[in-house]
Amino acid sequence: MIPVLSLLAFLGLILFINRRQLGVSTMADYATANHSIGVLGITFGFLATWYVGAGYTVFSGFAVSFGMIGMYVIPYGIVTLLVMYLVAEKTFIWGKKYQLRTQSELLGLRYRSDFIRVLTGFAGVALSVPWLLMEWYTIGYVFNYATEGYISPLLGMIIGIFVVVFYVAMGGMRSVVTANIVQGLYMMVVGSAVLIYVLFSELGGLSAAMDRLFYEAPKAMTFPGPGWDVSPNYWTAIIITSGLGGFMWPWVYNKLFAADSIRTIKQSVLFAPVLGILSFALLFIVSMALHPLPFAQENPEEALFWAHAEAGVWPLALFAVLVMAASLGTVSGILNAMSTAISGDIAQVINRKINEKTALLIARWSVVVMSVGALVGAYLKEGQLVFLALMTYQGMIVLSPVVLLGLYWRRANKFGAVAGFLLGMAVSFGLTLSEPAFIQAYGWTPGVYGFLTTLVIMLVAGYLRPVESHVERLWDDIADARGQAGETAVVRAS
Amino acid sequence: MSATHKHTRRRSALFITLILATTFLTTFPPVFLWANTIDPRWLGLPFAMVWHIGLALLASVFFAAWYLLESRSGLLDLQVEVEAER
Repeated sequence: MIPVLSLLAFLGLILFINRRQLGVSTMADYATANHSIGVLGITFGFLATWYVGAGYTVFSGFAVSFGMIGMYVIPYGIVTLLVMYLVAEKTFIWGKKYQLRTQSELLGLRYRSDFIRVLTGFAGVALSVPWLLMEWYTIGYVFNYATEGYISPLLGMIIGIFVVVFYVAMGGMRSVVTANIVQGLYMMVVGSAVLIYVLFSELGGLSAAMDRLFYEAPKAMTFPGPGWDVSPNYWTAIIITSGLGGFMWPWVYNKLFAADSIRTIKQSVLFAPVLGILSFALLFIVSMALHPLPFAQENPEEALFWAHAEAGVWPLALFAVLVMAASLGTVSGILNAMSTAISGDIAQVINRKINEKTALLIARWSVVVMSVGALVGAYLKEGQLVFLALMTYQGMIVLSPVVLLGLYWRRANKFGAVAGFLLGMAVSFGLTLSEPAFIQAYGWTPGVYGFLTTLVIMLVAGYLRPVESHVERLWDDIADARGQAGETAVVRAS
Repeated sequence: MSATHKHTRRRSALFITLILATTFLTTFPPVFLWANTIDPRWLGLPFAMVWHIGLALLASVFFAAWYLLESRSGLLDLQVEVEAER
């Protein structure tokens, strides 16, 4: 009873703190909160969205089974944060100057191409679907486990959907970020505390848990882990693929358009790695420590829930809320980004007559339709969700040259971006589906080949054509903003 | 290109290099395999794990230094005028 009451109380808290955010009346406010979010919102918005609920089931299960390899998340997080730091300035300046709302709109502006806008908007929506399904499934699973089967996964999903759809559709980005702050704080403070409690109460503390691992399964303490023979290139590939792709998700990237300043975004980069490293390390240490236990080995994805249930009803309740918080953070970000893309990057581009009021209506109904559709998908296809979700990273990494070269290289042009993106995707997913022998033998994931394809095509296309005239004007925007800042700094100094 | 802008670019290049160096040390196979050992252990944790956590924390220090230098030069408080209402 305590776990289910805790879950319901947390959902009620999310609705309560959002009660003043539900009257969003413009599309700009729905999509970007009118560029008003401060450092707390961006930091926890980033962490709560990035930290998926499946991290406590599927990904922790990876660490339970294979040990240290789960730690790849930490170096990959550093690459992702570097990308965030690098794109912050231009994304903010162009975003504010041209009132941009999405990553695809930014690319449409940079390459002066509606086609790129629609293409990347569609790709962002399509590649996000498996994550949405997986997170819905996780929410259903949490309710089911926490109530010992009393609430079915389907009913659990429906309860979760009702809450998330309500606050995302009515409050947009403002509600998403407000909820993210509560979810993120819970994950970092209460979530870390309950993991530490279980580490000490059930596993005897850090040293004892690691000693047990050392004597009973030492292979779990190094790469690649017990029972798995894989090239070390695989480690390099998953870090590069996830690191470059990690910040390309529209549901993560779009948070930048909500920030109130460049300072806010860059301050978030300072807090996020420390918070992320500590909490991820803790999660994976506890998961690794469970490796020698027979039940955990037989049920790796259930292992963390089981360990918390063994620790008592309150640890289980707090852990269930932790997983719920992580899932809600991701789901709300995905729904906001997908609905904004469908309305702004697809519907409004295809039909220019759609006004802002209608666009907002489309976005809100998109949230409802996608949620119900995802509910059906998650209930029917849960077995394949993990595979699909991991496969999407092979697509997201292909977007990174389009974004990074677009922001940092004047010669990058729309021909290279379109051809590179399409061919890169074809290579990446072609190799993923056909699984040729060299992928397994050499260790690089298909996304790396797709990334290199896009990069080469964009570089070649960039040198074949002159710099486009609108690009100079965009670069002038950056120079103007920096120039004004320089003058202000000189005045302050004098 | 102004001297200030050149200085800013050099500083960014330096910090990008430093942060990427920490990533290189955690991903480049020969270095990564060298660190992929259990001993010496610290608080029971294998050296492989300490290596990755330590380098990530070092990267965080580089981020902090980069941020502080940019903050001093006034580059984080850019004023942007809106081009046109939608």
